[in-house]
Amino acid sequence: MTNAGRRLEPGFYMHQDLMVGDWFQTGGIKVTEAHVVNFAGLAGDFFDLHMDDAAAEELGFAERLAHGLLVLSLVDGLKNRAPVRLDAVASLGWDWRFSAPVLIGDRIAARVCVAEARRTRRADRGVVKLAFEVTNQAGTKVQEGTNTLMMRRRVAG
Amino acid sequence: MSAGILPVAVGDGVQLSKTLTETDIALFTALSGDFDPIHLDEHYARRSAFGRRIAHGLLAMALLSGTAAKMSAKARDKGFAGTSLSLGYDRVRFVHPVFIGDTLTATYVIEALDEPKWRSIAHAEVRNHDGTLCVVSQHLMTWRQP
Repeated sequence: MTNAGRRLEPGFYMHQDLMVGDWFQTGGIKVTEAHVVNFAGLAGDFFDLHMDDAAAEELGFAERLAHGLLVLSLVDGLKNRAPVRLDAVASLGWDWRFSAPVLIGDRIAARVCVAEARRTRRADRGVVKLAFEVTNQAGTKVQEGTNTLMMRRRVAG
Repeated sequence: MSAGILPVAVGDGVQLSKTLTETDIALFTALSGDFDPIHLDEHYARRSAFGRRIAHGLLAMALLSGTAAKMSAKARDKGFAGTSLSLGYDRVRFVHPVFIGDTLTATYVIEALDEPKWRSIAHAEVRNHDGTLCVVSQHLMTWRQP
């Protein structure tokens, strides 16, 4: 991901305020055991690597792994709480890769870049595709992908 | 165990069902920090196009994590001694809203194998009790020998 575009200042952005290449950095969050246990209960995913220290150790991990979709949910929250606020109507979808494991105790943060922007048939709606790169405390890329958002547009008059 | 080198075969499937409750919304809000009023404010949501609160899309999708784990457990039951690791999801689409009280069924079916890369590709979807498709995606998993 390049830094070629504008770095967005904190503020509120409607669809026409964004250009392809614009980017911002989210805050960070520490992935805790509480996150993992709660997500296991919500998802019905009690896979050994998330719940059992010994199983994680056996595969060479120092700690239990966070569920991939848990990390995505945390990243979605980082996006929603970022100082760059996007006037989104709905999340239309994701394409997402779990590139490297996230362990309990890791700190993650994301860089978000506007990869595509297009109008829709409705004058007051536009679509953007945001590209994410999620890194841990060591700077290792752990997840990446895109989120397509329906956003509001300011309409004259 | 299937004839191939992978512990799963095309057509293998698992399902997981649960009724989505208000508690689920509260717990997921605590995880994601997504306080959008469409999920949390009944009076705001009543005036929206949905007419009531809707679940976070990623909360409805979370059940797919459970089905992937169930597929892995099924492989283990058949004698697979290694482990599976989730690589990601493609073309996740939220096509219908999920409401509090909906009973969701997640279905996970292996639709292709990439044996040289030790990968399986699955169709993974969530439907409500009326059979309406709510979340659809493709899941990629890798299988590791012990």
